[in-house]
Amino acid sequence: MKKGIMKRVLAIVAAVALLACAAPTMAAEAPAEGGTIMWLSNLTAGAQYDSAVAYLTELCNALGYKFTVVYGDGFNDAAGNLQAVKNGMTNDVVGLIASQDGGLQAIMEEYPDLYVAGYNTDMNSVFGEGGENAGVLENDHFLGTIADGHIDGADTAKAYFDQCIEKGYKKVALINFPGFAYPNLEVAAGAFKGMVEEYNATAADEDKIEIVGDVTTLMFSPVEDSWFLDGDNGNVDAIMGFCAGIMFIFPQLTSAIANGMCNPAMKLVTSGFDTDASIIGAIGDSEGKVISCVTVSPAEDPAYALVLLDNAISGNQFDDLTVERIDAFEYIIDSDADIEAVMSKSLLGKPDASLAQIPVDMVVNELCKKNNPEATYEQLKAVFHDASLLGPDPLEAE
Amino acid sequence: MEQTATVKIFSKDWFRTHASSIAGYGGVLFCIIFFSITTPIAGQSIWSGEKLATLISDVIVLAILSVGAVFVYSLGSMDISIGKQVGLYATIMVAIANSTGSLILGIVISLAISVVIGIVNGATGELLHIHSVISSLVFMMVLGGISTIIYSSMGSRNVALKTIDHHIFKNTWVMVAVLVIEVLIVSFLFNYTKFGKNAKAIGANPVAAQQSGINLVKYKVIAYVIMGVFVVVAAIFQMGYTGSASDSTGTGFEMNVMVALILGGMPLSGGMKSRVSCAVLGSFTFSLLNVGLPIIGIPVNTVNLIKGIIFIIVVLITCRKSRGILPR
Repeated sequence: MKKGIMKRVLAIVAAVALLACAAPTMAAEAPAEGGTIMWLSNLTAGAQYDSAVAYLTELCNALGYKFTVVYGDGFNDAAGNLQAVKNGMTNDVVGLIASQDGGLQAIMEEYPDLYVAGYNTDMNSVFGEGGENAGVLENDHFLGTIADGHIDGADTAKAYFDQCIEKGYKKVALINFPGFAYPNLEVAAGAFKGMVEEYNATAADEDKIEIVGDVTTLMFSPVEDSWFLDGDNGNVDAIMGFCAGIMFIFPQLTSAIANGMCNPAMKLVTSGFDTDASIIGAIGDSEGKVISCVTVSPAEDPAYALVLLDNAISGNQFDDLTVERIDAFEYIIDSDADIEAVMSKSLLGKPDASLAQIPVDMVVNELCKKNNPEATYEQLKAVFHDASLLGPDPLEAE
Repeated sequence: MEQTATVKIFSKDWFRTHASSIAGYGGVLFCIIFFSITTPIAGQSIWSGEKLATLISDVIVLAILSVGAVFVYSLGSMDISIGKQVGLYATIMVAIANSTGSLILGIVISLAISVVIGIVNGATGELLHIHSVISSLVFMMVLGGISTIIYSSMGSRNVALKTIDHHIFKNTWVMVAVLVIEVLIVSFLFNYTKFGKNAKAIGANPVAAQQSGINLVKYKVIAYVIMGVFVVVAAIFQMGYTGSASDSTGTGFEMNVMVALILGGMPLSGGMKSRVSCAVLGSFTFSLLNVGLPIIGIPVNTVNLIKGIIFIIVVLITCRKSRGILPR
């Protein structure tokens, strides 16, 4: 082969790839009349991300906005988030849906006209004691947030403890993220232990629940295979994975079961969601299902933030608005029927806005005050806590 | 006569000889022209005051680090601990400032640590006959561990300045002034002193340099210490950007520096073709892409892909077969 020909071929291939990447910009969209809503996302892919993008795109179109996504720093670093927003910022951005709170105060100082509402984050640095972004509460452009699940770890613990009782687990192990990163999960693990102690105090000996060992802390890496061989870990009935166990525990648990390293009937109770076939196939209550329960927030939650933003941008804010952080209603998927319903009938299972249980039409015409002057903040909150609307039962109903 | 000279300038040999300069200057010029034309069409010029400030804030830390790293890279060495160093120094500065009410002590302590790390990084490679990356890899892990312990003990993942006003570090003119001063100092040291010339000589051929009487350990230590000092300067601006630090501050900076240097035309194998301008040009190209591409509608998640492809193209243009671009 002629000297240097490979280099040239590679350069041409790279140049063509570059053009292919740039091609979509040739057909640039016209700016929307209402401006642009930017989402500072904590996700870059997956079912929750796809569903949120599909839903927000439809909602923004219906409300007259353009929708754009920027990706927050993978570790919620303040400077990384600020730079992400700055790089994605254009002069028509009028509202920010923040799914990360790192650097929020700096972002709002940098863009004083920008309205900000949170989604999928408890914004502990804003609402927590001595939080480094507490200053944004003084800013009238900050509108509040809807968390990913429960704000109080004790509520999370209750959901896990209920699963323990319901499924009859007698021996469990706890796995968590470090408390300095997720203080509410540390509270959850502590509260779970307290609930077990309280339960054991009155339970018959054969009904008592044993927590094996201390809480295992994962430093943002999956549980080690050797964990199953450590002490009595391999013999527990279930792992209470307060961390995102779908990603950090499930693959290793499946492998440990397949390799005979642990109790073959071991189950996982955890949080998180993905539509990967191997994960969906493992969720449920029938024989051989490894994930006996998974908790996940509905994909409709970003509408909470968008309604607050739309009201603020259009100058029609709720009279009764309280700037606060609210719990998200949680799907508790613990049966084959639940997961089938979620997969076939919910926005979470398919990124199709027409499947949203809080339909686009309802958000636009009933929840946004510019289209419904009678709308109130209390009604908005109620919708996002309404089990009859968001719960798995309506999903299962024919 | 003039015609002959013109032909020589644009001859194949001329392009080969100046490939790295063409890549460096050409890259940044292309970005300037491209974004000057396309961004106004997309609705907001990259040269608007707001975007220019964004560009400067995006480029400042990277440029300070890259310029500071020129000595080390000209030796044919590299340091992959600089990201963790930035993170640790920023944390130290904020934590100490919150307890003493002044940033000075934190900066002095950070400087002291950076000098120690520079000495160890510079000396171990030569004294123990190991690749320079190895000692910096060790520091990367050690500093990461220290950072985790600090944040665990604080019970938080981030820490913010409580009483000190950090806005001076966000001032565009201050950023530009610091970068200009750094470039002047490093350019002088690199181009007009024995130290700079010897550093390039070591990068070009360490055996020949040693046999010419150049003390490799001494010059490597000085190069790493200089870089360490500028890492502290970069950490000040990184911390001052938001007035805070976290356990992930500085993550990935070592790779960004490497990419910026290559985009600027710096041969990572070091040697006589190393130039301070490579660091400046590469950093600006990197940041122009960061800021310009989203304006013209490229989805943010595609920006990294495009930067990667441009990186490959520049590597293919600048790669010299006899030596390659990778460090020894």
